[in-house]
Amino acid sequence: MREREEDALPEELAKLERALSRLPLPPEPDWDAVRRRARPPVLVYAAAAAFLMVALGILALARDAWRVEALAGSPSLRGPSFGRRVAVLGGVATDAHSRARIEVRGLGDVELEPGSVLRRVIGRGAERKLALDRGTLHARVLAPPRLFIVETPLGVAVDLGCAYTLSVGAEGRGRLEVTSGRVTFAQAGLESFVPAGTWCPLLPGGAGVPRRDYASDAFLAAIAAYDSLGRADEALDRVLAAAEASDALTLWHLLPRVEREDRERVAARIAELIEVPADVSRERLLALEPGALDAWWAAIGMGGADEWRAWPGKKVSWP
Amino acid sequence: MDAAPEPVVPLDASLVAAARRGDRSAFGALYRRHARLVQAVLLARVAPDSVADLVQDVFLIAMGRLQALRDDSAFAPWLATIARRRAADWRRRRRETVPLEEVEPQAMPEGESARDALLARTALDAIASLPEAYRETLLLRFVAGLSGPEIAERTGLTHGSVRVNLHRGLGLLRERLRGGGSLA
Repeated sequence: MREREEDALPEELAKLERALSRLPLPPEPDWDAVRRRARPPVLVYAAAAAFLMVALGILALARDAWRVEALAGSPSLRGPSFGRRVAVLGGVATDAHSRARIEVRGLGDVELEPGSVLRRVIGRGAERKLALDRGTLHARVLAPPRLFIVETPLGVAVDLGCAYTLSVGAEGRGRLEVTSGRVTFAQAGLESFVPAGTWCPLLPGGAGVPRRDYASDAFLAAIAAYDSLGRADEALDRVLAAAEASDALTLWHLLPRVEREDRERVAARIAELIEVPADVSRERLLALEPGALDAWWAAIGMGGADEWRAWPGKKVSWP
Repeated sequence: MDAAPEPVVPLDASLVAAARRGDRSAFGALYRRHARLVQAVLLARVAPDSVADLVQDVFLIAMGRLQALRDDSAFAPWLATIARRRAADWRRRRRETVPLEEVEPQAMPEGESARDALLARTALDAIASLPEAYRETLLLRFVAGLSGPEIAERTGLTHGSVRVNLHRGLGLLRERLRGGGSLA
């Protein structure tokens, strides 16, 4: 039985209670109809949100698209593009008779030689990243180091503020030539530090060693033979014999690429050509300790190794 | 053949759980169980002619927010809170404030005696003139038919406060009605 205060209501209040308890209630809604009405707004909002996201995505792609200019012939755009602008995941291809210039928004530009295929790929943060599948590009980049990156089937070129030419041939070889500033090229755990005035071959087995344009003919011939002869002993002998002090940069790159016995000969030749750090033991160098290699690199006069690493803080994984 | 047993009246918690799963008939049962509660809460705060629409509004709001109710057994006090907020919104949005005593009460259903209709109107007028603290308690008693403990459970007031509100509210109400000669 329900408990009530004031159980003994006076008669006049009991009448009042009866009258108020009979106040009409509004008719009960059709709850199923309510549900049917409730659905469309949710769907409409979801559709509107999806449309907005797609629109914002397209707008962002369009705002970030890079202008493409035909320098010769009729270069073609591939994938996402807006007018004559190529968006992320889009690309530019040149045939045998065409050349193109691509604006790298905020950093510089890239010229594409005939017979090239270049794609825009997604970079991290402020990075501008391209992929050169084949052909030749000339990059002119005025930007903080490590923001402009070009991937190739043979490795990755990371700009440190420079102008350079990068080629990838159909036969699986390529070439990186730096005309100002410097570039690092990394592949399979090996990095090549390529300063202005040098170039290096890009080989299927790893990043080639850089060499100076103005090296002696004898040295250039010897290192070319070393590249092509599979690094035979006699080829290395010719390289070491022809090397001059300015070729120490090339010899330093050979250190992690040769076997231990040959490494001793290379180190000895470097020590003959330039003044090497006295406080770094030869054993540490021959063991390819990163600190020892970096100290010898600094002795060449190209700045500290840390300034060159493609990824700050990451030590090169020497073989 | 045995007669079917009397159906057990489901508790709010089971109805709420079913309604949350999309069972609209369960929500309809909740409406029938608590429409008087909502009506009483609203009558304490808004003009009687607006109460019918607002009752439906309150239940529609509750239906949309049912997923947010943490304690299914607390459906009634949660619903009362929604009703109070909806009444506050109604008063805020209303440009011209109309005193409750100047508003025509809801029409009585057909067949009711003229005396009952007059009595209900007079009672609402008298209750509207009472201090706010007593209005909701009296209307929950008279309109929703709740006992003191049931009122306490749905309003969050202590039993003692409800008892005091009822006692004083009934006393004041009796004075107002007798002073007006309505119960003579």
